[in-house]
Order: sequence, then structure tokens, then C-alpha cells
Amino acid sequence: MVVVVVGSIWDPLTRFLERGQTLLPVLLAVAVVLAVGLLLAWLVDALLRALLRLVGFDRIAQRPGVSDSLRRSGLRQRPSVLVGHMFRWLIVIATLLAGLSIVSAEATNVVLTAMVTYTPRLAAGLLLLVVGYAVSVFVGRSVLIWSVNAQVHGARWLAGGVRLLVGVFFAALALENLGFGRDIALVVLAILLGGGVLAAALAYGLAGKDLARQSLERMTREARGEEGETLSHL
Amino acid sequence: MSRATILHAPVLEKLQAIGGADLVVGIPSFNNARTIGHVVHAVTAGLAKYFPDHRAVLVNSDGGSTDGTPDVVGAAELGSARAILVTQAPRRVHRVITAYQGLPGKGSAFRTVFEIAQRLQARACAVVDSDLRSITPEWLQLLIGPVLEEGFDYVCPLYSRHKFDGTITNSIVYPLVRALYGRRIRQPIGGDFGFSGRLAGHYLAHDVWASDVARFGIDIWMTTTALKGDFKVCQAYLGAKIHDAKDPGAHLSTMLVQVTGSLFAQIEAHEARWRDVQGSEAVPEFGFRYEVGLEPVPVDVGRMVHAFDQGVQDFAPIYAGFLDDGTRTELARLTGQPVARFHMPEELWVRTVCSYALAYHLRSLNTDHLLRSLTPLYLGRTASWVNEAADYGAEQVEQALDSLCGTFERLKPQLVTAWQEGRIRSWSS
Repeated sequence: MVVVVVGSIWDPLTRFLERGQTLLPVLLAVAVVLAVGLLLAWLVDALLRALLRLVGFDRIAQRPGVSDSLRRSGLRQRPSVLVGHMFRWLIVIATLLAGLSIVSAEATNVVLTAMVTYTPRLAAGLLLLVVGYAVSVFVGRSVLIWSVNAQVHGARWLAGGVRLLVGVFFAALALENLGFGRDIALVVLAILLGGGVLAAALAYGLAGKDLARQSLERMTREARGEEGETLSHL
Repeated sequence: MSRATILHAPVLEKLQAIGGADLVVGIPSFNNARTIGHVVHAVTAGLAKYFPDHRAVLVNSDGGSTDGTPDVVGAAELGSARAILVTQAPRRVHRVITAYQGLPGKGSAFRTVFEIAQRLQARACAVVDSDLRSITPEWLQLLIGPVLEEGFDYVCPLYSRHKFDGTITNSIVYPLVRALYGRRIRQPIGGDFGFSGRLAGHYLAHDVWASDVARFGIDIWMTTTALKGDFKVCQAYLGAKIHDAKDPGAHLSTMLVQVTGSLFAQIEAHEARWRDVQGSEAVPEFGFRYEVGLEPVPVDVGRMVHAFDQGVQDFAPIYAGFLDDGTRTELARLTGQPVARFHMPEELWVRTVCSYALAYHLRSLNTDHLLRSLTPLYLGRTASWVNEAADYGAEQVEQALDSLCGTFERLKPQLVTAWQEGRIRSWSS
């Protein structure tokens, strides 16, 4: 009885240890590759940033307006930092693939094939998100400046709403491009647009009817040049 | 002449027939049929009275008026001998009436005048606005006389204005031009100027006619270009300037974008000229100063202060991009002040304007956004000025402006340092 029990435990244990003996070096190799790869990614990022700063990359990149465009669109990182980050993430991805290839060459092939076929769409999606972010910041700021200068109440809310709408629109485009969540994105956009416009119209027309009347009267007076002030600024 | 021209063939033929001229007076116009007749009368009377022995040409450079402006110029009677109290019949003034070519704007109209002056080899020129109601024949003597008789190249106008009028000029343009270029030109964007034929040729040689200079920035461009070229500059007192409202529909922030954008662009282009200038000196002045009764100007200070408060609060993230911490803190401290006691310290305003010039240079923000975000701060400064100057007479107004300019001159070294370092830095008193 004891022999049977010991045998029934011992056999799976032996098989596990045998499998472990085979797997352990593989896992160790994966860990080493990941550690070296991540360290390399961090080192390359730091070195590249230092090198680019040394050669005055930020200044060079400022000339054709690259840095200006980034800053204007709200990305406040220096160009050298952005390049460093980009290379770091490329090395991280390569490291993960290398680690995967140690575990299973077949799985790596599948992932690589999927990446090759999916990369253009992913890149286009990412580009749409980046462009969408820049456009939403620009449009939001334009609305804010216009509404504050026109002394519209709740200018920040208005600008934030417009920025959100533009952002959601581009996110919907990106998701559509990637091929998933299309319906959700469209529904969210429709709710925001339709619901938002309706809510704003009701709020302005009912709750703020006096404000609406005053605003319209002021706009009419301004259009006719009838404002009491005759200050000549020039 | 074989070089490219912007003049139409009939104009070239007419110029050939005229041959040459000593004086050219340009009147740019666009739908000014109501007022241009008076301007033509005053110009021709002035030429007849003060320059009877000189060959003169009057140029109407029109932007495609649809109200018959050129017809009014063509039909206008020249100044009669009786009107100007001379016994001798005035010499004939040739009239050249043409539609200008290029971008629509006063700059393109002036370019046509410059080219005509150069082709006729004029010794002295003047340009006057077509919507003037207060122009008199004496303006011609004052704008052209210093060029013909005293050897000056550029004559800026000097007008009597209400203390609340011309606030962009008083709080931004005059102090900045004075502090940077070192010359006290009181109205650098006055609109009516006198200049030598040599300077007209110099203007024409610049390739700026496809830019904003051709559209709306010509006044400050002419003044700063003359200063940059070290031409002899003076100013002439013309009395009051009364003219039609420029464009009642034009929004203040658009006006600010045009004026400050043109000024900052010139400052950027002329860095080498102003970097080492210290202090400022007066420019020679012509004309007889006299008191002028000015219409009261109603101002809604409450609206301005409200605009300032809202702007400082809502634009906080925008200002964080180019105003230093100290300036932003002080601006924030001003919000919520009672309207009647609202006061923006002189130095705070100077630091703000210098920061904007710097941010324009560093491209810290989209240019249009940057310049439009100045509107609430400018309104705050204007409200502060209206409160401060409520009981000021003309002399006190000039003293206050002198003090403001002195602060600009005092902070200029810090602007130069920040400009050269290419970064926003804290201002010290």
C-alpha cells in the first residue's frame, strides 16, 4: 500500500523535476536576456540623450520648427528625450521577442507574422492618436482664446468640451483603423455630439435665457458698432 | 527702365508724359468717397501755398473701391487761390489715379507710391490717410518741409489726442520703439508720414511685399526701417487727428495681433540694431504746439477689469508657457480688485510686454494664440491707466508716459540677456 502511494507521488514528482531540469536553463536564459535587454534599453536611452544634447540636437531640431511644433502641440519633452525614449522602446520590444524566441520559436514566428501584418495599421492608428492630440490641443486653445476675449462665461468648460470632442473623434478614427471597438467609439461620439449639443441648447435656452438674450443683444450692438465705448486703441 | 514694375501700363505712360517731379503725395484709399475729396483739397491747397515753385504729383493708390472713390479724386477741384489766400494762381498738380497691385492693404498702396516717386525722381514725398477730416494745407508744409528744407529723410506725425485714445501706441508701441531703438518717436504708427525720395527707394528695395507689411504692418515697418537704416528722423506737430472710425467691426484682439505682431517681427529682424542701444534721445520736432479741444471719450472700466480677471484665470495654463512665476503671481494678485481702485503697476506691465516680445522670438506658442492672449492683460493695463489718468492734464499724461518708457529702458538689459540666452527668465526690479 505504502509502495503504491509513494510510487503515485514519486512518479509525477520525478517527471516534474525532469521537466524543471529542461525548463530551468530556458527560464534562466530568458531572465538573462530580459535583464540585459532592459539594461541595454536604459543605457542606450541615457547615452543617446546625452550624445544628442552634446551635439546640440535640440537646437538643430529647433531650426526647421520640429521642436516648435512639438511645443505648440503640447508635447513639452525635448526632441533628444523623445528620440531616446523611442529607441528604448524599440530595444524593449526586441528584447521581449528575443525572450519569446528562447521559449518557443513557433510562438515567435506567430507573433512576428502578426506584428508584420498589423504594424502598418498600428502605426496609422498611433499617428492618428498623435495628430488627434495635437489638433485637439490647438482647437481647444483657439476656442478658449476666442471665448475669453469675447468674455463668454464658462469659457474653460466650452474649450474643454470642444477639446474632448475632437479627441474622441480622432480616437474613433484610430479604433476604426485598428478594426476594433468601432461601434463603441461611434456611439460615444454620437452621444457626446448629439447629447452635448442638446444639453447645451437646453441649458442655454431655458436655464440661461436671460444670458442668451443679453449675449445676442450685445453681439447685435457690437455688429452695429453701437457699443458705448469710443476708445480708439491705435 | 527695363526692371519689373507693379504699375499698370497707362500709369507708366502718364509718368512718362509728366517726366519728373519734386514732390509726390500719396493717398491710399478703399471706399473713402465720403472723405477723400476733402483730403485732395487740403493736399493740393498745401502744395500750392507752401511749394508753389515745385513740380508736384498727387497719387491716389486705390484698393478696388466700389463707392466711386477714384472718381471723387478725379473730379475734386484743386485748391483755389482764394481758399489759400494767395494772389498767384497755383501751379497745376498732376493727378495719378490707379488701382494698386499685390496683396490688399495699405502697404501695397504705399509700394505703388514709392515706385512712382522713384520713377519721377521725387525729392520729397508724403502719404496721408484718405479718411482724414482734420487735415489742413499746413500738414503738407509740416510733412514735406523738413525733408526739402532741413535735409531730413523721415517725418513722423505728432498729434494731439485724448489721454484715453491711442492706448496701444502709448502703452506698447511708443515705449518699445523708444527703449529699443533709442529714439523718442511719439507716434511711430501715426499713419501720415513725410519722407525723402532716397528713403522711398530704400523702402522699395526691400522684399516684404508678399508679407503682412503689405497688408497692415506698413506704418511700423516704415518707422523702424528708417531707424534701422540710420536715416535722419524728425517729427512734426499736426494738431488733432480726426478721421472716420477705422473698422467698427474689427475686434480688439485682431487689432492687437496686427500691431504687436508687426512690431515684434521688426524687433526680431533688427536685433543687431537695438541690442547695444542704451537710453533714448529726443528727435527734432517741427510745428507749433497748441491746445486742442478734444471730444470726451467714454470708457467702460468695469468691462475691462472683468475681462482682465477672466483672462488671468482662464489663460493661466497658456501664460505658464512664457510668463515667469513672479509675473504670473503678481497678475493673479490683481484679480478681484474693486474696479475704481484697479491698478496695474508700471513695472508689471513692462515685464509682461517684454515677456511677450521674448515669447514671440522664441516661438513659445502659436503666434496668433500668443498675441491674442495679450488682450485681457492689455485691457487691464488700459483700465489701470484710465483710473490713474482720470484727473491728468496733457503735461501729466506725458510725464506718466515718460515714466513708463523709463521703466522699459531700465528693464531692457534683462530683455537683451534673455533674448541672447533664448529662454524665459525671472525679472528682477
